[in-house]
Amino acid sequence: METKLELNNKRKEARTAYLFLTPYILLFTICIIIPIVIAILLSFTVFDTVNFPKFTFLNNYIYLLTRDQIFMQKVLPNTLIFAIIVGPVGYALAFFLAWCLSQITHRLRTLFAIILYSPSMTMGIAVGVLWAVIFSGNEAGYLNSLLMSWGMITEPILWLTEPKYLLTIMIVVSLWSSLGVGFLGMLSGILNINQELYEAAYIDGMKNKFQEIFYITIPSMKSQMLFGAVMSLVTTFSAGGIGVALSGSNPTPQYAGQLIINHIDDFGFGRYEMGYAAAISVFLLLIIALFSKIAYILFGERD
Amino acid sequence: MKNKKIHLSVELFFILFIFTGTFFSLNVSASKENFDIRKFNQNTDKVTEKKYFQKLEEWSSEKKISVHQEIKVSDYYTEENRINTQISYKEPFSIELQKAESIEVKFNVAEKGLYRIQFDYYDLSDEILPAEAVLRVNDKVQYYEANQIMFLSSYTPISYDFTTDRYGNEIANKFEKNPVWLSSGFKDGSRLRNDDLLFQLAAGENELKITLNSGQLLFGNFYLVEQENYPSYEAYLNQYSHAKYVDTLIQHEVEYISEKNDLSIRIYSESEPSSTRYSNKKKLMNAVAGENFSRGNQKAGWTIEAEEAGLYKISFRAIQYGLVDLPVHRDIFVNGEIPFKEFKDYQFKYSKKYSNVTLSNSELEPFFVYLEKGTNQIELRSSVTSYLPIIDNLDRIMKEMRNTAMEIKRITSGKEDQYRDWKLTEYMPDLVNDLNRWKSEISELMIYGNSFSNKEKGSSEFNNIERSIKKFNQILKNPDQLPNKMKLFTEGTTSIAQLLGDLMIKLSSTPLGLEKMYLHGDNKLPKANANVFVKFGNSVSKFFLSFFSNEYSSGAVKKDELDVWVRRPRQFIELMQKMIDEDFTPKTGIKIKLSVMPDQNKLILANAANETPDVAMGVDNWIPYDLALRGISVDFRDYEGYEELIKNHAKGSFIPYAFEDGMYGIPETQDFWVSFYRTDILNNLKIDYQAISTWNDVKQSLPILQNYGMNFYEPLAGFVGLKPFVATLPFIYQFEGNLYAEDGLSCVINEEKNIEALKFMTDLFTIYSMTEQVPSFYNDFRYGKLPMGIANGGTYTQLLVAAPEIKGQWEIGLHPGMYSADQDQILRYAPVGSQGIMMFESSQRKQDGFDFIKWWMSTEVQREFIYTLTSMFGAEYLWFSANQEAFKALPLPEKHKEIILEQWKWSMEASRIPGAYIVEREISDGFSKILYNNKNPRTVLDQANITANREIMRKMEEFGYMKNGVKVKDYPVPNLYNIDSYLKGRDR
Repeated sequence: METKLELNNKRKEARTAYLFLTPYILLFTICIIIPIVIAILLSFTVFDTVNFPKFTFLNNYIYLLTRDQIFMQKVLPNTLIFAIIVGPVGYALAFFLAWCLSQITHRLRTLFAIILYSPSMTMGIAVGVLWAVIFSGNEAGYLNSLLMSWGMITEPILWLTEPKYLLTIMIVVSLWSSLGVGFLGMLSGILNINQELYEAAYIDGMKNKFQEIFYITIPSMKSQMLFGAVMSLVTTFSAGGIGVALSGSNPTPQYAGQLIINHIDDFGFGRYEMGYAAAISVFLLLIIALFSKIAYILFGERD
Repeated sequence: MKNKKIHLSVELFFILFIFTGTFFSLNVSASKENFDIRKFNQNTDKVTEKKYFQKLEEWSSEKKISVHQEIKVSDYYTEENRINTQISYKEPFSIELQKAESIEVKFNVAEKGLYRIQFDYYDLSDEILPAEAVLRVNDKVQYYEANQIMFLSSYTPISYDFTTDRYGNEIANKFEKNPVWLSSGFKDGSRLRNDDLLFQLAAGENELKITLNSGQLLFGNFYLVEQENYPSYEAYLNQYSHAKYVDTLIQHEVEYISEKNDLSIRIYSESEPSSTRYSNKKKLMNAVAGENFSRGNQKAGWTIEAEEAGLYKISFRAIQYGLVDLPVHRDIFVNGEIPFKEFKDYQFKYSKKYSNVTLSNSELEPFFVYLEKGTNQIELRSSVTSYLPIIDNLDRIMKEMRNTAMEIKRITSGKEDQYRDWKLTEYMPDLVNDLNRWKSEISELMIYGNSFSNKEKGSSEFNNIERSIKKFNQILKNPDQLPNKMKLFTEGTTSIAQLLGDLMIKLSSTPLGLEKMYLHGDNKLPKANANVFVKFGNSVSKFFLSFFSNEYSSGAVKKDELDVWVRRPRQFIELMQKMIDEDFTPKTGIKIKLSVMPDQNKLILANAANETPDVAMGVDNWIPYDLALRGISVDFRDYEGYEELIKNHAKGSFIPYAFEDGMYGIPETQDFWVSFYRTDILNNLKIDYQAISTWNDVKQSLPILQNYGMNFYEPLAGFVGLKPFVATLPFIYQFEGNLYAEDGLSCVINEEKNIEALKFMTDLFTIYSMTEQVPSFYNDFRYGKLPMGIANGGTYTQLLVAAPEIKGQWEIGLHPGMYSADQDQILRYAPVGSQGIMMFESSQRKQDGFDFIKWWMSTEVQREFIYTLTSMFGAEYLWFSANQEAFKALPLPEKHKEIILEQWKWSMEASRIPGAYIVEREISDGFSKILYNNKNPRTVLDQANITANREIMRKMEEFGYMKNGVKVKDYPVPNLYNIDSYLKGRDR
């Protein structure tokens, strides 16, 4: 009798728990699970957005890995270079600046945090109005004008049109705007570390700030570090707007700044090949998952 | 240690500084020795006629003569003239004049002097713009304004009733030309002067020759008349000393205009609860729009019934916020004439809100006018005359500044270099004098202008002059360095030239909004504005009502209505719906509902959801093709009347709509690419822009331009990343190249002619150093940095509407071309990128859809649309109809229309095949590889061809033209050379 009651109670509890979970599960399924499943399903088809999708099995993936020259020669290398530089450097930058900010007084800190965070909010517009003017290809562009007045160049350089400059400029601009949510997370992580730990460490014989960072700050904020790492990975791999916004076209000239996202866009909306575009998206998903795994190994809690 | 380091670097810096300093001074002195000053003192300004105001100054000693003389039609008629007897006139016949035809009238006068000439005329044409003519006296154009004499027409409403659209909103009533004989003097086409232009006649016989530039007119008798002269108010009142002062209140709504001389004066719905006709749910016509009643010589009149004869006061409920703290002027006509001097250039004061303005003198004593019993006509004529001294002088000063700027460029060859010291004053000894003179002249103009203002500090409109004076001071601090400060002077958005230009435009517009008119005695007028509570209540109710409006949205289509999605601005759609409801539906019984389509990609989504409309309009030209390829758009060639529908189109614009052997869309509006020339600069440089016809001519003019730091603009420089077909294809086709193989399954971009074309394109930038990147040609053209270039309809409209400071200083010409020895003609192919109309396969009522499209694209309907659009919204609303016959109705200068129509004969567009985008890309990449990586054109294009073919093959397999790399069937490529076969209807 008693056990039955207990069981009933437990069931009731479970039901309540599920009830509370329902909104989340619903939203998660509708917004994340279903689209991903559909994308994976689409990636096995030929779909031109007009006619019903035709099943082609692995053809899209085979084409992607064996015959898509641009993807292998340009898009993938570009994306990797872009992600490997912007990801870690941006990440390090975020940590370094967060740490610097944690050293100053409260008001100044808030002010600087807003200033540093704002580029990541204004990204889209800023690329258009600010960076496009700075790198404008005529003599009225800021950079050209400066370099010319210093006598370093005689003819304006077409920063956004010449393939050799584009990727570098994209990296610079992305770094400028890389201090996003991850940066805020780290800042709060550093601020939440118990100050007594530092005092204790100094008593134990810690000598300088460097040791402080290594032995106390980083170990105490592993979860924020992980959060920051995943955020920066996802944002860098899924970044795509910059090259197109700067050069004014998709594809970028000679595919110099073509990233995976642009490639997806090109196939999906330029050539109406949604199936193939879906296959590339799945590929991108796998890359991000792989790198997140690495980040997990580096910063995850192992106990 | 640290100090030492700083010391060292400072020393180093100084050494460097001195070194560079000596280097540059050496450089300058060297150039000075080689400098031949005489070369630069020649006056190269082209001999153009003086402006009227300058001529009047010259004629200040001449006598203005008032005589009466009549020259009858029969007196000046010659055999060459065409006689018209259909339109009755007081003489037995009148003389009809068309474009480029002229008449010669002889006057015999006793003494030399300035004469005022009037004449009878009748407007035959159905054009919106007034007819224009050149007037020569004794074979000489006496001044600049005589080149563009305008003949105003008179328009009367077809009906005073406002029709409503399907949502209950009122639509402005239509006006038509009033078929009457008019009498007038010669009027200034630039609309700055309201008075008749005077001409100097010598003693004895004078010959007056009128040559029509545009329009179609009948001419009757000519008269020499008295000089304009109006009695004083006292004298006027004395005439009516026995008349009664009427004590009544007649309220007249100004939206019922009874006559106007310009279609662009329009009425609209002022959303204000104090207006007489007002509803918070519907738009009711209730006011005359100020911004469209703002150009000189625009006249609107109202017919008013007076119950008794007598003296009345006149009041308006008016608003004037166009000129801050300055009045705008109106000439006030009572029954056809200005009754007394005070009604000429009557001032309407600045007022941000509607207020009741009773016409009165400066002591606020109201004027009385005498009205007859019965109908009376009161007219207002917009006038800029009071500000003319400012406008004329600013115009002159800006011209002088531009000349000086050119002279500076001549000396410095247009280079800007902050580290170079110029001794400009040595080469231009008058420079400082000129700068000072301009400065003092504009401050005098400001004082004159501020005398109109009732504010003590003057009007803020003249801030531009204050800012200009500051800039002059900045320049005068070191005039030698002016070459490095051209941004202050004539170039750039905040230069003096720009500031003065803006002011000039501001002052030459006279916006005055009206809501009603009163004729009254001593009665109190109703309050001009509603109280706060009414206003607040109105805004609240409007806010909530806005949730229930579904006007022009795609949801609510009724069963029996044809569903049409339109990608155009709301105003356009409202007008289209109105034309459909008034004309098409009654005629055919087909009901149509238009909906706004903000994004054309919605069509693809709609197809996925099985909700496609019957017809889509205003879509980009690649949409019908992409949808045809996938089988959801309709072939127009299947329909009876296809040939009739497209007979007035430019054939090149059909290329992108053609697929297999069908035509899946019809161009609705289209673009044009033509050459633009700054006539003032080019005349100054002695470049004969009219002779520029081929790319060779362009190349030859480049050294001269580049000597002055100027250049030519080729649209390739306007695209940053990808150079699209629009920019690259003109060269390919002008070099007689072709993109695709006969069977359509591969491309041939490595063919000899294509290589030549690509090489030529890159040569323009490498060998001939054209500017490689131009963010805004429109700006550089205005500032004179790029006085020549190729641009499209968008730039044309911008220059027409938003470049006042160079009005009349630019021209357009045909696109430069290549001479083809085979065809013995110059090939001028240029794109016409269009917005088109398409139908959907899923539609149940395709025949109805086709009938609708046929009706819409017909010449009469398109012309009607152009007329109404311009007459409702003003001349800036240009509808570049793809129906070329209808295009002719646009209110553009005749010369320009001719050039655009001629250019359309050379219209072309890229052929579409599956995978065409890869060809566009590869050509663009090839261009950039040759230009930036110095690759050989042949190898680049060979490689490009391989890459492109691979993609084309893949696409061809997708659409079933190939299977496993083997051809299944041909893909017919529509192109310039075979498009004719697509333009025929199918045999049935």
